[in-house]
Amino acid sequence: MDAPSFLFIAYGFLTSLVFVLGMLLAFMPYLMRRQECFAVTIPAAAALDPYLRQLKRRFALIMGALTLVLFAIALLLLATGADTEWDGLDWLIPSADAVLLVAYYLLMLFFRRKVQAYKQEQGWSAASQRSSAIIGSEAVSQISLRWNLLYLLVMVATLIAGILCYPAMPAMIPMHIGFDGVVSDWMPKGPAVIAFPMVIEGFMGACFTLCHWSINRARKWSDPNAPATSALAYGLYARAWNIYLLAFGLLLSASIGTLFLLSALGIASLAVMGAVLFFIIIFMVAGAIGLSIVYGQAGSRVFKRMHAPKGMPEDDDEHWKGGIIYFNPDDASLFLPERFGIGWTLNWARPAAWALVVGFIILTAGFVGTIFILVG
Amino acid sequence: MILNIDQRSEAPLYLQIRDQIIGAIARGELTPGDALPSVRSLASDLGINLHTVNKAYAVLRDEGYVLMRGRSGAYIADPCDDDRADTAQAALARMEDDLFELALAHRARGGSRGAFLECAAAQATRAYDILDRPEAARSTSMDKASKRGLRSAREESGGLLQGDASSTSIATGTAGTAKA
Repeated sequence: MDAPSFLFIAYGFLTSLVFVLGMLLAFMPYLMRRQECFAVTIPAAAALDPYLRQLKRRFALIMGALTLVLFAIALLLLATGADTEWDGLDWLIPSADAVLLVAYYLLMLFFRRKVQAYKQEQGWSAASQRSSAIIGSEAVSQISLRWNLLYLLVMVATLIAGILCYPAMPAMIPMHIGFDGVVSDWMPKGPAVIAFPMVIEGFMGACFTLCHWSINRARKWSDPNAPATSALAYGLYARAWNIYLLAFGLLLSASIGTLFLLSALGIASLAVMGAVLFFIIIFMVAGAIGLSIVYGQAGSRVFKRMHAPKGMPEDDDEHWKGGIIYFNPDDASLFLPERFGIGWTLNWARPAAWALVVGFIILTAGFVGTIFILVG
Repeated sequence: MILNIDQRSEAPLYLQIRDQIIGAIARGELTPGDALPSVRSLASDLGINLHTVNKAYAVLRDEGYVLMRGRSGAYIADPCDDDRADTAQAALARMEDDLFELALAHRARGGSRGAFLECAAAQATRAYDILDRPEAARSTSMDKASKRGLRSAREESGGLLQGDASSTSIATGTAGTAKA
């Protein structure tokens, strides 16, 4: 693979990610639970309210237009600037993603205000604060955390393969490649050559295991108006995401180990490694979008024709600060389904949430530090 | 089982949990040996405080419905004899209430005391015969029931208490000889 085309593929890939991210965010209101509209609790029956549907449409249009504008700018730069020395895309792509996320949040707050006013006007309020839990027979069994031991297997395989390949490795190993496809950093042969991919695999394994653990531990959401079917939908949703994380986590970590050893042996270049990883990430993104559309947030799209009662069994808006930050000291949940997005969030009123964040920062710092020591 | 709570309800949350778990045991939805979710997991799913679920479990444990194993394991206990005595007492009270209702309804329809007693005795005979001689009991009770239907249509007034008692003794007597 020659250098310009690699650069072009890399930028093209990152640019299309901007587009995909923007479009997913634009349609987010349609993937949420029916009891929520722009992070405001509403009666499930109100999901069909013409005014609320209009708000969702407007949100999608604004976000979609913004995405197209940013995508067009990035494409323009890709067409003109990518072949020259100018590196405008290097900062444009991350900032385009940041702009999309900030716009997404601010627009949500804007529409949330409107929904809150409309809710008051319509007199929607909850006379009760109901919640339900399924005891005994679980409709969907969780994916066991033990599956994550496979990450250790990947690390051991890398260690064995590394030791076997070690005699055949050259004196200097390519470590880093610029977007121009030229190797910019080398590492002398030594034990670090084997430790380096293993540390990356270990860190990735730890991150994916943490995600798996938090999903298994999270509040199993169920709608008090349809506890059994909504719990089933949620179970299928959580299970699907766990399988997704496990499959791609293992694929990614095994690929990184294999490709690094192949490049150390001089069989494949780092550019090939980058291209393979790009492909895996494309599949990951496609998979994430697929799961989001098929399952919706917390399984909201699993059953299309669920009964939509007019009443509100509960309303916990007061615990959601700024629409997305959950703070409820009277709730034992550490993780729970998030309000305006696909996935889970933390209950910031629990000290464990802060301990977890600090722990994760320490883990990441330890990882970066180890990499620096290994690479020198 | 599905546990439903309401944080705005008058009833304390731990009692809501306790009552529903006892209800599920009574209905057979939870059977002895079934595991209950851990305190943390149930509190998280219901979105309530750990202490509330802890208290509910502690009450269930103290009342003998649940056995605890360590901090997280809770299992439905085997019903103990005291519970059986309690349920028997409750069942007896319920039966008395039911009989009273039936007798009242019978009287309201203009039926006599004797007719009611005869009917009750016949049903008791039928029930006890089923245990001892299932086939015979079914056939005799069937034609006895039809006979009784005719008889009660013919004679509305009382004075049949004697006859009723004798037929009961005959029935039990035949059952006894059949067994011997």
